Amino acid sequence: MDRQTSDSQMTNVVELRRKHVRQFYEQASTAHKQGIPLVWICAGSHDEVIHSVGAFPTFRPASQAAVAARRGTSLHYCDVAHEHGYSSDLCSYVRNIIGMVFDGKDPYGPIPRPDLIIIDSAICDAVCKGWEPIAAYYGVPTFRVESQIRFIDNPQKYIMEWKVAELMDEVRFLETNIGGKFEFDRLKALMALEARTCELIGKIQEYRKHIPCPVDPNEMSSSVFYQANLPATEMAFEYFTAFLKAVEQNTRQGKGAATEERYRLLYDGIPIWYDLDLYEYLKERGAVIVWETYSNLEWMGYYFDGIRINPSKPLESLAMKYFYGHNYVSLRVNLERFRRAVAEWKCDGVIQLHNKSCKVYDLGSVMKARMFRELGVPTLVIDADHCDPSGYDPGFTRNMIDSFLEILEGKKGNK
Amino acid sequence: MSRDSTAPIVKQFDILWNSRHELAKQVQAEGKKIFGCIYSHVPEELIHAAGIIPIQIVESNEDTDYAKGSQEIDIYHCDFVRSCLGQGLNGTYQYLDGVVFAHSCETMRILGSLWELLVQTPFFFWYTPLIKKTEAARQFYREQLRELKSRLEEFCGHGISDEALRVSIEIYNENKSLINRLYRLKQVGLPLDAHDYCVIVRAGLVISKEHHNRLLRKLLEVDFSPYEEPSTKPRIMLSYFNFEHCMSDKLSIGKILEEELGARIVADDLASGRRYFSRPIDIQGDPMEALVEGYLGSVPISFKQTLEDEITRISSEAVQSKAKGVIILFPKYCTDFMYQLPSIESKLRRLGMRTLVIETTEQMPIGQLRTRLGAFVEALTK
Repeated sequence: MDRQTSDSQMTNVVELRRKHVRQFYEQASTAHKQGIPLVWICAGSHDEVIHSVGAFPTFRPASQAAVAARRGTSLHYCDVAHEHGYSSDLCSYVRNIIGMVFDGKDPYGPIPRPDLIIIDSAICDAVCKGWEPIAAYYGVPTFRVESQIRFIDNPQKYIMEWKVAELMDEVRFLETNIGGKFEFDRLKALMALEARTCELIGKIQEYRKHIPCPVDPNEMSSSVFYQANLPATEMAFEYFTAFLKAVEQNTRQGKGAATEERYRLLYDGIPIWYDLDLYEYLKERGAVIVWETYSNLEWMGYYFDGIRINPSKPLESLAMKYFYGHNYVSLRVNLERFRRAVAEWKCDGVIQLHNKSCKVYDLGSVMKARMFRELGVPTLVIDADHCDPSGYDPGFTRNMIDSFLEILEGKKGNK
Repeated sequence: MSRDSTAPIVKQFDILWNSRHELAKQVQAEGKKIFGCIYSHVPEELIHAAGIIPIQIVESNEDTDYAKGSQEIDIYHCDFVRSCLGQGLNGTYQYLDGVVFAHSCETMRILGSLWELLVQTPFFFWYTPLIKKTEAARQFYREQLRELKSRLEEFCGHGISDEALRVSIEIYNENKSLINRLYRLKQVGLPLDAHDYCVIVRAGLVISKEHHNRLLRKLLEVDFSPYEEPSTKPRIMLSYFNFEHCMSDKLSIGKILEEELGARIVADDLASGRRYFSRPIDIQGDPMEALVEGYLGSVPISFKQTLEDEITRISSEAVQSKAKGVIILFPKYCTDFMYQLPSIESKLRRLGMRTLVIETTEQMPIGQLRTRLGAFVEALTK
């Protein structure tokens, strides 16, 4: 197949994603018109559990925050949050959500009101605390799933039992508050589908080890939409199947994300959602992000610890997904993962985002930079927020990147 | 009745605080182990029952410690954590035999992670407090306590009996009871000002509870006649996290408010003070179960307390103490509390109280702080 076909395959992948995004938001925004309750969930909440109780649409406003940033409206939402007393030191995802709630609008139109809210601390603490005033504002039934950070190599039996019990409490809460009935077989089927999707994601990530890297980093970041919102759906399976096919095609043709790949980069942090053009800027200079933390939140356990979804034990599998995810392990565990990522994806350099409003991703940034230095891999630190563009200078960032790439070029010359 | 009667005893507490590390090493030389803990989630009673002295790791107010900690932690984290880590790296806490850190907030996870890797105290345990009081949460908490108990027993080379745990709980309960009694007597005329009260309370964080209890009992023997405070003094509640930012060699917010500005601090919910000491454990029955019930979902620190409970706690304290204004002091970058702050302020205003919010740092300009406090007190007198 020729290069043009390969390009058009990737174009199809992008179009498919856009179609799914539209469908997803339409489901949420029309739920009430159809008399269906809408569940608001935060990052880390388990859609699978919700869908095992019934086909209730879910709405994850953090994704809206990323959309707002891309469209240039996130600053407005941050300002609204600020007017209501929320400090600019707080997570900009949450500030955007708070701003949308008080504004009554999200980037697509009137914000659909929740009938139920599920909060989960699996991704970070900020999410839990930030959602409390939102839940209080709407005054709807709210359920909180608690989690534990993993400092040890393997969670003990009592921790797994607790997490499974928490998820069953969530099930009972859903049944009580929005009707529907939990079906264990339905959950098993959802997890089986998610397992197949995870395999596809795993393969795509493995392909990124190829030189040149055949996977577009911008699309990889965008694919987080599925992992966050639609992990156990036919839509996700369809998308990653198409994505993998395009990647396999690129690999056969020796086609990389950049026209001429010169530098392979690891990106540590949340994407700068209001400046995704950075990916293109890097690619134009032969720099390709071949591994990043953000698209790998839950896949980390899959790859580094061999964690696999066992559909016959769906609740345990869900618990493991988060126990081994990026955000819920100690720095010691993360450092080892970064060490392996640099080696296995053959990274020449690291871009590290220092993000005032995200403590989770900031964990151990100094130690990480030191480790990368010891591995002989230069690190560029960019100070930027993920969804709040105030104070961000794209020109300055590009200047820094130019200097960084010169350093990488120099290192290549010295080899 | 003047403060002359209490001043000599208060000074003893101050001396203990200032010589906390030397004292700890002395205790170790006598054969005891010392563990460091942070904040109120850690079940110190269990550690105490193992024959170990738990002390709180506290901010030092030393520039060198902040600087050292800042080499490993970005500036977007509170001074408290940077100081604690800095002290760990500088060797100040080298004498600790172990640490038990609780997941009380995201920044604590950073401290715990870095301490585990860089300070490498011989014993390290990461403790997960919970908010909910469901059966699943109880079972988890029970098992976690058992795990901690087992690790402590292995470390010390001996078992922890139920009787030893019961005794430790009683000692800690007595400590809480004495402090609460002190707090109530202060409201009705025991000659202690806000600064002195903090000096007394904070000493209890860094010495054994038995020692603290002996001193508290002595203080409470002081004769005094209850008196009615002149009603002209503006009544203020202080809600604050880190007393280290509020009372150091450079600054004492209690003194500024009471001695310089003529206000009266009628209530406080200091995180390391009343919140730390206010919850006695009910030890009917099995002492491990008593710890479960005493700690689970009960520790009033922002991340592990719901917004509703936090609002209720602060507002009801303010109402009960008939405060006209509430000064809220929290460490800069304490994001868990910042999410709650607008709702708390809104509630206090609806109750007719003025609020002043101060983000504290070790480097905050004292002149500006004095001006803000002065303006607030003046507004309350109008």
